[in-house]
Amino acid sequence: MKLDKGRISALQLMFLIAGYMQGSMFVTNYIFANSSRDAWLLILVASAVFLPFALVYIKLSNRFPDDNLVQINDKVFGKVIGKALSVLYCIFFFILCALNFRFPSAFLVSVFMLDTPMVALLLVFFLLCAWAVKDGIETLSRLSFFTTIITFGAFLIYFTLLFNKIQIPHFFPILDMPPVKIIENLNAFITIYMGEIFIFAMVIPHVSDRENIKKNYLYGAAIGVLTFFIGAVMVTGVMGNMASISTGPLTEATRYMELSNIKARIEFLFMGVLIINGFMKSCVLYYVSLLSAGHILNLRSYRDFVVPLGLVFLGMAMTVTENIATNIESAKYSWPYISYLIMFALPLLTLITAIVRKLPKSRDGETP
Amino acid sequence: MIWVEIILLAAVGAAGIMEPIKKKWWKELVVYIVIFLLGSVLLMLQTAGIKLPYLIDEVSKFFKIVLHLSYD
Repeated sequence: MKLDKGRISALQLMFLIAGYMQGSMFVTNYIFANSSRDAWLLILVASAVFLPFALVYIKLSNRFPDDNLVQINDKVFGKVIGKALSVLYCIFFFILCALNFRFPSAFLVSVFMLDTPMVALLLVFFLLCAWAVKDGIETLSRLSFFTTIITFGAFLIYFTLLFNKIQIPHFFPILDMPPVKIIENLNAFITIYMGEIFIFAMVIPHVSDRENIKKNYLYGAAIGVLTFFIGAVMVTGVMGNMASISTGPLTEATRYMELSNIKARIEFLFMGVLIINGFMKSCVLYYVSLLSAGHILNLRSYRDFVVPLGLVFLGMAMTVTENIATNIESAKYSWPYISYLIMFALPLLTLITAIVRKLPKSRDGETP
Repeated sequence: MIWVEIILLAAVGAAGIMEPIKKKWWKELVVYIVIFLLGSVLLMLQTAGIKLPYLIDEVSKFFKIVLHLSYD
């Protein structure tokens, strides 16, 4: 049974994935703090490492075209173990959603609106997200088209306007860090920036033209990577090692922009673009959390639960982490391990079990 | 402040439960009430200034101190 009857095209899935990945721009502080001038290179290496995992997600979804992650778990592992694994996924979605509710508000409060209580911004953000999510995946996918185009366009425009400020020596020396640091940075890219797109296993059953899923899934991820790559080149080229001590490297880099020798100060527009990204990502996570909870609890509709679950996310967003510093600590000490288990190990285990058990079986007992 | 919050939450909650009651979806009604109360309690604890443990930070401490997993 589908909780949301909405259908989207594979092209819309591509925009959803791209928009979602662009929403991870808010966590660039940690990535730039650690990898500073090598971020542009590490994102390319991380993409190559991530590709097999993306293929696992696609293969799993293609094997069970009408089922989302919760339904796949039920079919592959049975009701009890399947539900237990789905609960794990659900908790992970909840924490991710709470964190992504928090990022835009926390960033605004720490950089631009110092005297504003975070809960005020969180409340506005929650209401906007709830409004978008209530109308289902079709509305979200239409929204994602605009957010992706706006973001990619903004990155290109800012990159062009900052081009004369980019200094080639800022990129050198390349990979001048111990191997453990390189692994740490790659883990951050793979788990925080890329791996999260495994949540689209909850969305793929809504795609109508299934033959194009693989292509558009990878194109969406490529747009996300390309956006980050442009941002990383812009930040590193303009700021060099200064990026590693900045609270918001992307907005900081745009401050260097000059239009006709006038200090433009149009970083606020860029901040707006980042907020739009954060909004898109939070909406997708909100929707996915609602769907997974709805399927686990066997509900007949998810729409009635948009507000109550949003209140839980609002409360969780206040208590999920203390501040940006502790959040960076968690990105270093716990998040990669949890992420690798949930994002990579479990989907891979599910796929292997499905292959070994020759699932799904059609009515006459054959694997289609 | 907490009374304002309680009144607002009660109004939102009352508006929300009408739909499951109208459709006679009793299981959905129970789930709605439980999730709504959970969210409301979380928010009211915040308003009352009661400090809850920071979820991700506690997990990080567990990984760092108990499991000794870190890049350092």
